[in-house]
Amino acid sequence: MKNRWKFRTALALVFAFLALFLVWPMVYVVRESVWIEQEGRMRFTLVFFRLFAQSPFMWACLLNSLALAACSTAVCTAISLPLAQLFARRDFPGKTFWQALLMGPLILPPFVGAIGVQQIFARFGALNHWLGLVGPGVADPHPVDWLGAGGFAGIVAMQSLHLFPILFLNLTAAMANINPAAREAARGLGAGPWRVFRTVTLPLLAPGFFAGAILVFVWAFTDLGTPLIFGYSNVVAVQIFDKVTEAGFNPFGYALVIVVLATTTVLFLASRRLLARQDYVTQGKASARDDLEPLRGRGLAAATAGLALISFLALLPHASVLLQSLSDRWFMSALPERWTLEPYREVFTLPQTVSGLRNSLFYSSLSALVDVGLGVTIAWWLARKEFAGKALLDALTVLPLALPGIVLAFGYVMAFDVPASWRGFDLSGLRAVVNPRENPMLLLVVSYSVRRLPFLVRSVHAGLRQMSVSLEEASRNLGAGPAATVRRIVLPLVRGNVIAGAALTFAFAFLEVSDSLILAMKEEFYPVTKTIWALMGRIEPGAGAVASALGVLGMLLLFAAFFLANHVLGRRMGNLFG
Amino acid sequence: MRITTQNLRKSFGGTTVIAGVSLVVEEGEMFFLLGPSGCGKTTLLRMIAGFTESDSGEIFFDGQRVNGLPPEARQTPMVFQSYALWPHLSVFENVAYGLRVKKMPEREIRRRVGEALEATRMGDYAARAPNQLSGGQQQRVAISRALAVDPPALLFDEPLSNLDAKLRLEMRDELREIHRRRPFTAIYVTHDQEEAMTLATRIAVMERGTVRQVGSPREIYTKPGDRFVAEFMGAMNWISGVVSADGKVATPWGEAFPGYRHPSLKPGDPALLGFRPAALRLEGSAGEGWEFEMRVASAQYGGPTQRLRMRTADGLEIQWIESNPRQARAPGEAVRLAVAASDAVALPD
Repeated sequence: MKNRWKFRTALALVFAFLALFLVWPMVYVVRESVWIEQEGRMRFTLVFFRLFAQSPFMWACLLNSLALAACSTAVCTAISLPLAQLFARRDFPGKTFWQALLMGPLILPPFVGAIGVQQIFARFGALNHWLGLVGPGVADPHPVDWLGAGGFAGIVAMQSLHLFPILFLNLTAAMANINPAAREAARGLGAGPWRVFRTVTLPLLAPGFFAGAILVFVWAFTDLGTPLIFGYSNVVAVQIFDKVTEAGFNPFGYALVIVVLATTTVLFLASRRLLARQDYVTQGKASARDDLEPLRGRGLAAATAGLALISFLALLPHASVLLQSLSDRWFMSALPERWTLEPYREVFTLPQTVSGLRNSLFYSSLSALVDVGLGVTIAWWLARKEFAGKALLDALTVLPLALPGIVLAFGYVMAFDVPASWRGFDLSGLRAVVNPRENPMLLLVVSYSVRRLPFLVRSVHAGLRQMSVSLEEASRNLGAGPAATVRRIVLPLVRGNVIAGAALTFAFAFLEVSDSLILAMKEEFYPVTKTIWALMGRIEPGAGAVASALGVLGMLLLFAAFFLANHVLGRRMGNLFG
Repeated sequence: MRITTQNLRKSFGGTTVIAGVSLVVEEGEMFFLLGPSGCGKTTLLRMIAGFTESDSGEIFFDGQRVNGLPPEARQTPMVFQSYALWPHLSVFENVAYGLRVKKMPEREIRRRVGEALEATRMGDYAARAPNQLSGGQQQRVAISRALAVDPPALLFDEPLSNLDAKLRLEMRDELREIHRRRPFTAIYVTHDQEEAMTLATRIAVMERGTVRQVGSPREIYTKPGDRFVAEFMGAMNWISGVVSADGKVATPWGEAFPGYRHPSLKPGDPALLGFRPAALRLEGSAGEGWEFEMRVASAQYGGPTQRLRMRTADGLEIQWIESNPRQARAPGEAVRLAVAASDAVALPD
C-alpha cells in the first residue's frame, strides 16, 4: 500500500511537470489566438486567422516553408536510400570509417555551417576564385551565384546535408529489421532483385522511412537558424522569431504559431495512421543475420567514389568553418591569406564567448540530468506497469517529437510572461526566476529537457524491452524490493541506453538553435548558439573567425558526445530517431 | 512448507483464466501443474509467487494468508524457463544475490554459494559470466541460485522447455537426484506429461482454468478421472459399451471387468471403454478381455515401435502401437488383436 502511494505521488509530479511545461504553453497560445478583447470584452474570434488568410505575404511565407521542407526531405531521401541499401546489404573495406564520417553532419548546426558555406559559394567567394584559376571565375563580370536566387537552394542544401543522417539511420535500422527470409522467399518464388525491392523491401521499409522523413520534414519546415543566416526571411520560422523580438503586440504571431502547430500535428497524425496500418513489428525481427555480400571491383570503386563525394559535400561546411576559424583574413580570395590561432585565444578570453560556453555546458548538462531522471522513470513505468493514464503519459512523451522548438519557445515566452504584480500580490520573486525576459535559465533548461525527453524514454524503453521481465522477477522473489531491484538489476542492465540517451540529449541541447535564439534575451544568459549568432551580426573584422572558432569547439564536444552514444548503442542508434 | 489455495479465481480483460482452484501441496512434495498451453497453470504459479494478484480466493503458506504480500516477502524463488540469469553478474554473484539481499556475512555467503553450486555440479564455474555457459549449465546455476537461500518452497516455470531433448532427460534425472537429497517443497509447471510422470510426487492436471484431477503419476495414468485427462496423458482408443448387471463392460467385442471403472458408473449405464494403443497384444485371448478381428489400414515404422491404424469389418478404427516390430505390415493384412481386462478403463459416456 505504501508503495502504491509513492508511485501515485511520483506519477502526479511527472504529469504536473508535463502539464506545466508542455501542455500549458500550447493551450495558452491557442487561447490567446482566439480569445481577444474587443470593445472592452473578452470574446472568441477568428479575426487573427482571417487577417492571416487575407495576407498574401503570410501565404507566401507558409508556402516557402513547405517548399523548403519538401525539397529538403526529397534530397535527404535521394541521398539516404542508396546509402542505406549499401550499408545494410554489402560489406566493403572502410565501412565503419565511412559510416562514422556520414554521421558528421549531425554535430554541426546547419546555421553555423551556413556561415562557412557562404564564404565558399558566395558570388565573390572561394569557389569562384578557385574557378578563376582555370577559367573566368570572378573575372567574369557576373560571377555565378551558386546559392541560387535568394538562398532557397542554399538553405535546402544546408538542411539536407545536416539532416540526411537521421533518415539514413532510420532506413538502415529498418532494413536490418527485415527478415532476410522475407526477401529470400520472394526470390525463391521467381522474383528478380528489382521486383523484390519493389514488392517486399520497399513496403517493409515504409514505416521506418515515414518515421524518419517526418522528422526531417518538420525540422526543415520550422528551421530558424539557416534562413536567418541566408537572410531569407519569408518563411514562417523567421516571421515568428521577428514577432517575438518585436516590441509590442502583434496578432500575426499567435496565428502563425497555430498554423505551424496545426501543420506539424496533422503531419504526425497522418504518419501515425499510416504506420499503424503498416505495423509489421509483430511479424518478428530478423532472426538470421544477413550474410553480407562483399563488394568488389567496379562496384567497390563506384561505391567508394559515391561515398567520397557525399562525405566531401557533407563535411564541406565543417571544413569551411574550420578554415574560417584559422584565418586572419579571408575575403575575396580562394583561401585565407594569413593563418592564425588568435580566434581560439579570443574564445577563451572574451567575456562573451566564455560565458556562452559556460552557459551552454551548464544548461545542457542540467537538461541531460533532468531527462535521465524523468526518462528512466517514465520508460520503466511504460514498460513494466499498468496504470490509469498510461496511454496519456505515452502520448505526452512522444508529443515533443512533433513539437517544433520555435513553437514551444514562443509558447514559453508568452505563457510565462509573469507580471511584476497581480491584483496586489507581489510576483517579482517568481518573475525573476520564470519570466524569460528576466532570467531564461529555468525555461532554457526545461525546454531542452522537454524537447529531448523522447530520446531518453525511447532509448531506455528499448533497453527494457530487450530485457526479459523474469530478470526482475527473479530478483523480487529472492527477497529484493522494487527499489533494490531497479538499482541492482535494471539500472546496470540498461546503463548503456541511459548513457547514450543522456549523451544525445546533451548534444542536442548544445546544438539547439530556435529555443536558444528566442528564449535567451539578455547577453549574460546567451548559450553558444546564440553567441555565435550574435557574433555573426557584428561588423568588426575577426568576429566571424571567433564565431567559427566557437563553432569548431562545439563540434569537438558534440563529436565526443556522439562518439560515446554510438559506441554504447552501436547500430541501434537509428531506432532513436524513429 | 505446506501451500494451500482456496477457490482462486482470476480473469484478464473478461477472459477467465483461473476458475476456482483449490489445492493442497504438502511439505516436501514435488507437485506438478500439468496441462496444455493456456490452461492457466503459469498464472496459478505466478499468483503463488506474488507476481499476479487473484481476483478472489485465498493462498496460505503454512496456514498464513499471503494474499497481497509482494513477491519479495514470500520467499518462493522461481526457476524460469528463460533461466533469467543476470548477465552483468558472475555465476557466483548470481547465486549470492538472495543472500546479499538478506545481508548475510560474507563467509556465510561463500559457504552457501559453494554448497548450492556443488549441488548442481557447477562448483567449477563460479567465476564465469552467464553468457559463457551452455543452456543446461545456465539452468543449473538458476537452480543453485534458488537453492542457495534455502527457501521453504521452490517454484519451477517450465524449467526444461528451452533445452534440447537429450539434455532435458539428463536434467530430469539430476533434478530428481537434487530433490532426493534435499526434499524441498516444489511446485512445477509443465506441459510435458512425461516430465511430470517421471518427476512428480503428485500431479494436478489442469484444463481451461480448472483442476481436472489430482493424484500420483500412476493414479493419473491408470485411473484417469475423465476423457480429457486420459487423452492428455497419452493416446487412447475408445469404444462404446454398456455396464452389465454384474459390473462388467459389455461391447460387441467381448465382455469383461475393466481395470478401472469410474465410481459413477452403475449397471445399465452407457460407458466408454478406453485403452492405450500399446496395450493391444497379438493373439491375446489368454485371459479375460476384448478381442478384435482387424485389417491394417496404414503402418508407420518407427524403430523400436510401429504405429498402425487398424480397421474392423464394420468400420471401427483403432490405433495399435506394436513394440519391437519384427515384420513390416502391409495395408489389408488381417490381424487378431486383444486387450487385457486390466489394461482398460471405463468412463461415463
